[in-house]
Order: sequence, then C-alpha cells, then structure tokens
Amino acid sequence: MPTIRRAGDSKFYAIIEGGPQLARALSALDRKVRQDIAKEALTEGGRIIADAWANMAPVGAPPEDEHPGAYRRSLQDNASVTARSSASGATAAIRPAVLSDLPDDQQPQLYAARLEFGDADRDAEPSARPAFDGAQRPALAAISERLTRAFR
Amino acid sequence: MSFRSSLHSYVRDQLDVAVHDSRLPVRPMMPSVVQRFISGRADQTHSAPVSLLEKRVQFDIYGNNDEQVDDLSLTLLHKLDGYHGPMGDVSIGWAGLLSDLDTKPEDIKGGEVRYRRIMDFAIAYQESRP
Repeated sequence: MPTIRRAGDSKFYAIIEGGPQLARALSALDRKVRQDIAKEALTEGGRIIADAWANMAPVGAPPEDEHPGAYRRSLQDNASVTARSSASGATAAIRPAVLSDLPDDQQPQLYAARLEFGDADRDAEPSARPAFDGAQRPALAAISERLTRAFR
Repeated sequence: MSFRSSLHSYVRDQLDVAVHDSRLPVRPMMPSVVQRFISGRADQTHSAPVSLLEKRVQFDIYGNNDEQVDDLSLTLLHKLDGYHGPMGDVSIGWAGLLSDLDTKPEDIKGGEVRYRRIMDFAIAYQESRP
C-alpha cells in the first residue's frame, strides 16, 4: 500500500516531479547547469498549474467567509512556486501565498485542505486537483519546451 | 445506468457498506463510504473519435477506528486498482489509485471518534458498453 499522509497536519500545497526521463537527460549536464535548468522548467510548468488553480479556487460569501476571495487572491499572481533538485530530477511546490493583510490563523493555506477534500459536514470544493488534471498537458508542454531550448 | 451509479453499486457490493454521494448523512452507519466526483476529461486517442472518459473520483472511507478504515481501504484498493472490464452498464478501460491520505480523527458528540481515509482514483470508462 502506498505511503499515507495526514491532511491538515501541514499547510496545503501541490507538488510536481520531473520523473526519470528528466533525471536521465539532466545527468549529462554540469551539476549547476542541471539544477538551474530543472528549476526553471518546473517553475514555468508550476506557474501554469498555479494560474489554473487560482481560476478554480472557490470564493465564499459573508458571513460564513470573513475574507471572501482570500483563497483565490493567495494564488492569483503571487502563488509561491518553488523548485529544488531531487532524486527524480527536480520537484516544484506550488503553494498559496501568505497574505500580508490577514492574521496568521486566517491564512488560506490553513483551510485549503478542508475546501479541497471536504469533510463529513460539507461538500468538497476541489480546485487544486481539477487544476492539476486540466493543466498538466500545457504545463508539461511548457516544461518540455524549456528543456528543448536548453539542450539546443 | 450511468457511470456514477454503476460505480456506486460496485463499491457498495464489494465493500458491503453504505455508499453516499458527496457527504455523510446526519446519522451515518459506521463504517461508511462517501463517493465524490472531482474532475474529468476526455482521454485522447490516436484516431479521431474520443473513446474513453477519465474521471478522478474521491472515496472517503469512514470508520470508528483505524483498523476498520485500514481493512476497507485495502479492500477498495484490491477491488478497484487495476480494474478492467464491465461494471454495471459501463465498460472500464482502466482504474488506478492516484493518492491516499488520512485526516485527523474527528471528535463527534457522545465521545465517539471518527476516522477517515481519502483515496483518489483515476477511472477511464465508456458510458455505454458495445
């Protein structure tokens, strides 16, 4: 059985990995060049997924939602997309940004998992997974295009 | 019978528990399963017509303890992961587990604790069997 993690134990974010083909292609390059190319390529792909995620992020209404649109705002333009090298070539993490106008305990990262997966009392309002499913082809195309440019 | 109801019936029969759409009822029997449809797209083929639809389906496995949830999720994995062939009135091209994770145990009234495991499957299917 695959490893099981706990939702809600940490801040919610999405991850994309390069995979063995990327690792093989990059292994022929100098280490520093390899890391830079992998990070740039996955960051470009990650931005496409972040944009799709922002467009799908649910927007609540008061009084239930004290900060309507905060979740979407944390993804629009300023989503945090960070890449690092890994055993599979590179890994990029896409996270809702911290919003400076909201207190720490009301940051979208803290309730994103509840919206994404729902719970016993409320329907799920998924946005990260549909965004990943819908945008993975254009994201992969962008990653591929960036790598092709680097290998030319 | 639609894909949704075919899958619902299959999971109910294989796991022998109640399966609910989207959320748990107010006083659910334990264990229970909730089935939610997350996203879907047409799967591209090399020839022109699109033959398969692919859906991401989230199953929430609820139980009163970890062992109950473990047993049911393992059964679901064995019965659905790698499934190929007829299921009710639809034909399954393939089905595979995408991810699974646990949520924090939830305290409910009366001192009970409810456990949940979330399992995401990708399932490709044809709506009507030839």
